[in-house]
Amino acid sequence: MVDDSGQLYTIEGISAGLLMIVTAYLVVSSTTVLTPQDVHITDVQLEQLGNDALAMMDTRDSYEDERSPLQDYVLYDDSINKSNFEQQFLLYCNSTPFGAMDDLRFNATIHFYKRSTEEQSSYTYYEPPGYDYYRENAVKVNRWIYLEEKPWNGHPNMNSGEQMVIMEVLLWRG
Amino acid sequence: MKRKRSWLPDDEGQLSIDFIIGFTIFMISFIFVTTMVSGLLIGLQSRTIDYDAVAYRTSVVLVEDPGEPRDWHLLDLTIPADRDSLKRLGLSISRLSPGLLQQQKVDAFFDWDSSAGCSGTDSLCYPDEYKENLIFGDYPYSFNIALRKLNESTPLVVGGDYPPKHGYIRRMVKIKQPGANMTLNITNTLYGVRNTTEISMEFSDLYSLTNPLYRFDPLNERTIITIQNVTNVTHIISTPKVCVYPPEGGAPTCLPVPGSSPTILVKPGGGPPTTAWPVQITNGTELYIEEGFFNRIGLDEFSTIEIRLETDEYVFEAFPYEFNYEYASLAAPEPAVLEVRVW
Amino acid sequence: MNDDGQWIILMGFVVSTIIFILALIVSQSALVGQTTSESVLEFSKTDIQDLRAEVIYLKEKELISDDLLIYDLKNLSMGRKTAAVDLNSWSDEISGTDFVFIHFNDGTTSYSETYEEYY
Repeated sequence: MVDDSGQLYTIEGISAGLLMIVTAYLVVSSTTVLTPQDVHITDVQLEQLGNDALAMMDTRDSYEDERSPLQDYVLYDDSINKSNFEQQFLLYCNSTPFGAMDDLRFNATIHFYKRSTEEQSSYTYYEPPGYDYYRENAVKVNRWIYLEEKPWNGHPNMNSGEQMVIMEVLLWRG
Repeated sequence: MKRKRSWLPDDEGQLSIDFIIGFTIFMISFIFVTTMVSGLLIGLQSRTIDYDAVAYRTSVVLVEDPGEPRDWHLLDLTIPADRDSLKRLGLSISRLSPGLLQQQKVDAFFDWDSSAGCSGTDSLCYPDEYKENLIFGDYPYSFNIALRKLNESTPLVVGGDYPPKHGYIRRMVKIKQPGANMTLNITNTLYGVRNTTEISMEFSDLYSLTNPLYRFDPLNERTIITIQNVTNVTHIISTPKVCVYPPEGGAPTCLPVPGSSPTILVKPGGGPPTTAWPVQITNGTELYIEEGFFNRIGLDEFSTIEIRLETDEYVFEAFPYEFNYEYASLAAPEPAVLEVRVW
Repeated sequence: MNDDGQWIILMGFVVSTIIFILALIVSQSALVGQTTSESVLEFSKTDIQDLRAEVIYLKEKELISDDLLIYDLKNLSMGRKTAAVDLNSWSDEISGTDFVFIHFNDGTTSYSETYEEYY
């Protein structure tokens, strides 16, 4: 049974096994597993905060109030109200519980729909002073606004009388 | 020597040991390699990404969910059955009003106790009850939740110090201030025709307002009636009475207000309550109906009641005062900022 | 030399080759998963909440049957948010209920609700 005439089977088995293991090891160790970096989490945080701020500005202080503060700012859009809008929006976006203020900036546009020509158009409501191109990580948040009539300084193409508009705010970290 | 070909059929039924050993080594390594290769297709998971998702989910549960049970702030946590029925800590007024929180829920949420006997107190146990009813998940997350009203300077905090790398989300909310207020203007003794008056409250009218942010909720929130326009020296000579009208109509049943909480307190000048009659009324004397009083005397959203006062001077007009949306009001909801950190 | 055991080596070689080819294929089909924040951004939770709040506000002001406003809503929604919005309101006198049917569909999320209010 056991003699010295060249036990090739064992050697063959070992070498075959070795070959397979080495290949598999090389393959497995060279595969790169990518853990995708979650770059979108900052977008989620900014978008949720911006939407919250707009929603809270759009909440009336009491049931008897005709309009919410946001509706007042858009309808009676002189420079005082625009400045009030800026202050309140920045206050809501930048306040933190522990006191430090965050540094978020925004610009706001109103989109409306001209019924007679079936065209949708927009005008800038607020632009920060020294405005330059917003950075990549800007998020867009929007809010429906009901207006009883055309705003004081609205776009000339707007419908007169009551209409729905969308306020779109672009929010980015300064 | 005769050579054996081990795979050719012969009638000996034996394989050479050399073949068996070789073949066994091959099969073992084949099985090993197959197992190794199947691991190629498993994706890696990392807990670092998870923290932001957990923080976001926690903030949604806090800000947009009323919690389970819906009025969990009314539970008495010293009763074990009540504590067990608490399933989710949400701060919103109702599920239809996201972002609008209820002040009592906020107060109950930040009322925590980290000592060993916390289940016997009326506070939430930190950190276990927060982990079970808010954070969820098997991994032992640590958290820090802070809320500050914009008109205050100190935040309410639950949780410990946080490391530099953590999951984070910030939310803006408005908190409904509890308690409707009504100002009761009494008249001069020249015009007053009687020394008793009734303040009538029709709950079905109060609860019919669909918007939960502006709705009066006398069953679950406190109610304050402030007496103003006091020109003569007047005293309340006996304890106020609550008269409940039966649902089918008929004469009301009147009971004096109980001495123990929750009850109706008379606070002369807005200061501490008193039970020594007669009590002098001044401008700012409050009839303070404590939270839960109407529940205690078994009222519901369809009840009609009157609160009767008796004074020693003729300072009231002929008709009763009505507590409704026309004469009473709620304080404006207060904006607040909430931060959730998870690590 | 006995070359009877060569089939074992050949089998080993074949298996190695198969593993190698599989690895090549797998490396080219990178697993594309969606991160949690992508799915959060995709679900238009705030759009639906905003639409709902606005419709209830219009109902409170009794403007819900104003066709011009609904026209504005539908067109602006399609123009800016690329979302289809459908609104219908009706009343049932027998039960004393007002109904508003709200439908929102922005391609990835669809939302329908019938809002009821007793009067």
